Amino acid sequence: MAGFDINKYRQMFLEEAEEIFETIDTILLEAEETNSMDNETINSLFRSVHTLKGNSASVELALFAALAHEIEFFMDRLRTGELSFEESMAGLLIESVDTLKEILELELADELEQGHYDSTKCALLEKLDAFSEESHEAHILMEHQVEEQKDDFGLLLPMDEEGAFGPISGTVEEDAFGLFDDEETLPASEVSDDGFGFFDEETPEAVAVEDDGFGFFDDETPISSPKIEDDDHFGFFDDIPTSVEKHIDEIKIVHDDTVVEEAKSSKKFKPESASNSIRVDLSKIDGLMNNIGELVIAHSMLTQYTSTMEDQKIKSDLSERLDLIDRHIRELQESVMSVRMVPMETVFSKFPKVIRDTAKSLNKKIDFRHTGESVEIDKAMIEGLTDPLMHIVRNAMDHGIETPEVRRKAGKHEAGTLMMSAEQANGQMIIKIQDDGGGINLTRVTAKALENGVIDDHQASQMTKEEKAMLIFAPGLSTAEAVTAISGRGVGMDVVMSNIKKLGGTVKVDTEEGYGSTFTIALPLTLAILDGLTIRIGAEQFILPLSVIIESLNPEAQMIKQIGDNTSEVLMLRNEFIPVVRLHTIFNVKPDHEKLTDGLLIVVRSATQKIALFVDEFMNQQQFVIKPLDRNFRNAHGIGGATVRGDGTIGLIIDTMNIMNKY
Amino acid sequence: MAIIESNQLLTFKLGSETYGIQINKVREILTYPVVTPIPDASRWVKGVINLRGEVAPVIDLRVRFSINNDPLYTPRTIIIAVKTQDNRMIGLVVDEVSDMENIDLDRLYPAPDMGASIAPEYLKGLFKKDEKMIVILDIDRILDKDEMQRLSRQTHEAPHVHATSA
Repeated sequence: MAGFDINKYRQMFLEEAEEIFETIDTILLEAEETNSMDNETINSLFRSVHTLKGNSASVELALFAALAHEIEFFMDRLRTGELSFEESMAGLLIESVDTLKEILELELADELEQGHYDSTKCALLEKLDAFSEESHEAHILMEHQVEEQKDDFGLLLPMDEEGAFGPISGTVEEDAFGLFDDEETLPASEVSDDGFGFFDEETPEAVAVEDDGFGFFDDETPISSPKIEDDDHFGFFDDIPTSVEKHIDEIKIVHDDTVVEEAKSSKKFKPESASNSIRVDLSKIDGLMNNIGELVIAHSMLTQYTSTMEDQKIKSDLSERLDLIDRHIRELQESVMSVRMVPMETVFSKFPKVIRDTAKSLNKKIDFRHTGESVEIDKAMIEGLTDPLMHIVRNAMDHGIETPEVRRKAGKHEAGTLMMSAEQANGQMIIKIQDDGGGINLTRVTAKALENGVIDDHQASQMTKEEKAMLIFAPGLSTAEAVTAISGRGVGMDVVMSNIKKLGGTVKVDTEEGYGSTFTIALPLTLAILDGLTIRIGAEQFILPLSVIIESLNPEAQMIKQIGDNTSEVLMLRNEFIPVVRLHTIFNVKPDHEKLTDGLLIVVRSATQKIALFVDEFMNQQQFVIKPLDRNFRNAHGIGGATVRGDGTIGLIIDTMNIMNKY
Repeated sequence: MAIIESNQLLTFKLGSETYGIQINKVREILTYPVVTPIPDASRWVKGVINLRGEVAPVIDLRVRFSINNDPLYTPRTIIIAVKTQDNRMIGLVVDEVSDMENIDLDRLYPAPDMGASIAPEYLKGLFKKDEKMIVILDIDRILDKDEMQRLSRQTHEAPHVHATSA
C-alpha cells in the first residue's frame, strides 16, 4: 500500500532514527547512573522524541508515531515541571524507548500485528500513567497536553485517512473506526461513560480474542484524543485503573508478556555517532579513491616528462608547481581514505545499553569495559561485525558469567567483568571479548556434540581442548539447560562463525573452566587502511604493516646463532632467541646482501611468536589503501594484499602471519 | 543463456600469427607500465599493475602458449586490458595490435585438435580473411578463474629465475 517510493524516505528516516535512538539511550543511561536529569537533558530528550514522531508520521509509520507521541507527551510533562524526575523514571524511559524501537522495526517490516501493538502500548501507557497519578496533577497537565497535541495532529490525522492502518487487520480496523465514529457524535461529557459502556460490551469478545479487545481501547487514544475534549479523554484514561478492575488484570498479564518480548528483542540497531554528518554510499568513495589514483598517475607522468625538458628555467618553474599539485593530491588522498574509516567506538557504543538490559533481565551484575576505541575500522565492516559481537556478548553474559551468588561462592567478585578490546596487529584487526565467568564446560559441549551427531566417539577421543571448545560454533549446539530469551536455542554461535567468515576473518575461543573464556576475532584489514613501511630486497619493494614491527636492527655477527645446519638461523636478542626469516628466499628475489650482518633485521610479531625478517633496507613510511589481490587474480604466499603506490604502481603488502604459518 | 556475441574483433599478433578477441571484452590498450612481480607466480604471470584502480594481473600469452618463451619487454610493449565475463580485469601482453575486423561468427572454422600449443578448448575457432588466418581466442576460457589459480603457481623446478624481468 505504500505509495510511490515511500521506502526510500523510510530508509532515510530509519537511518536518522537510529542516530536519535542512540542519543536518547546515551542520555538515559547516564541519567540512570547519576539518578538525575537536568532541564537541558529533558529538553533534548523531548526534542529527540518529537523529531522521531514528526518524521515517522511523514513516512507513514502511523503506529510508531502514535506511540512516540505518548512518550513525547510524558516527556513534555517532565519538561514543563509537572512531573519531577524520579529514580525509576530513567529505567521506564529506557524501556519505553526499547518498545519504540521494537515497534518501529516491526512496522517497517510490515509485521506489526495490531494485537501485539495494542498490548505493548497498553502496558507502556499504564506505566507512564502510574507516574502521572503520583504527581496528583493529572488534570492540569491534561490541559497542557491539548495545545501540544493540536499541531501534532496536523501530522497524524491525514495519515489515518490515507490508510495508515494498512498493517492492521481488516476487522480490527473496521471496529476501531466504528468505535471512533460513535464517539465523535457523542457529547463530550458522555464520552467517558459511554466509552466504558462500550468497553464492557466488548469484554466478552475481548476475552475470546484478548488482544483485539485491547485494540479498541488503544486505538482510541491516538485517533480520538484530538476530537473529544481532552479532559474527558483523560478522565477516561485515569478512571481505568480504578473502575475496570477486570481489565487491569488483563492488562497486567499482557504487560508481562510484553516485557519478555522486549527483552528478547532489544533489537540490534546500528546507529551512527556524530550528528553533523551526511551519508554517502561506500561505492562512491571507492570511485573517488580510484579517480585520485588516476590523478596520481597522470601527475607522475607529467613529472617524468618535465624531467626530460631541456629549458632549465621552464623545467624548474614547472617542477615547483608540480610539487605543489603533488602535495595537494596527497592531502586529497588522505582525506578520502579517512572518510571511510570510523573508530571502533562506533561499535563499542552499542554495547553498554544491551549489556545493561541483559544483565537486568538475567539478574546478574556485569562490569563492562572496553579498550581500543580509537582503533579505526572500515565502515564497510561494522555492519557485519556488530551482530556476531552481540551474540558473543549475550552468550558470555548468559552462559559465561555466573549469578552473583555463585560468583560469591567461587570467591569471585560479585560483578562479572566483560572486557572488549580492539587492536590492529599483523595487518589484522584483533577483537577480543573476555569474560571472567565459568568458562565453557567442555565435557558437556562434547557430550552434546556427540548426541547431535556433530562428531563421533572416535573424533571426540582425539580432540584437543581447543578443538572441543570450537565445537560451540557447530550448528545446533547449546549447552544451556533452559532456553532463555537471550540465548540457549543453539542458533547464534554458528551464525557468529559464518558472519565472521563472511568478513574473511576467524574466531578462536580459549576457555578455562571456572575462570572464563576469551573469544578472539581476527579480521583482515582488506578493506582498511594500513600504516606501512616500505622495505627493499634487491630490486623489489614490499610493504610491511607498521603494526607488526617491534624493532629493527643491524645485527652483529655474535648475535646470529645457528641451530643444526646453516639454514636455521636465530637472532639472539637480549634474552630471546628469534628465528630469522630471509624474505628474499620466500619472495624469490635476488638480494643485495646475503650476509645477515650486511642487511637489516626487522623483528615482527604474531599472536604467539616473534620472527626476524631479513631485508636489504627499509625506506619510507606511508599510509596505504589495501586492495585485494584475489579480486582479479589470486592470493600469493606471504602476501596479504596489494596497494596502489604514489607513483601508480602496485605494491605488495607482506602478511607476517602467512609467512610464519608456512615457514 | 543467450549472450549476444560481438562480431567485431580486435586482432593482434603473438609471434608471427594473428589472433583475435571480441572487442567487447577489451577495456583499454596500454603500453607496458611498471609491473610488480608476484613472488610465487608462474613465468607467464608477469605480475600485477594498477588498472583503473584495480590490482590486475598481467599475463603474457606468448609465454603461456609457448609461442615465445623469452620475450623482451620494453616501454613500448603492448598490453590489452580485458574484462572477463565474471568481471575480472586482466592485462594481456601481445606483440602488436593489428586491426579491427568484422567477422561472421557463423563462418568460423573449428580449431584442429592436433597438439597445437594452444589446446582447441581455448579457441573459439579460426577465421579466414583473404589469405590470412585469424585465430579467435576464447578469452573467458583462457582466463578461467579456477584454472588460473591452479596453473599460475610457480613450479618448483625453476626458482630464482625471474627476479627482475622488465
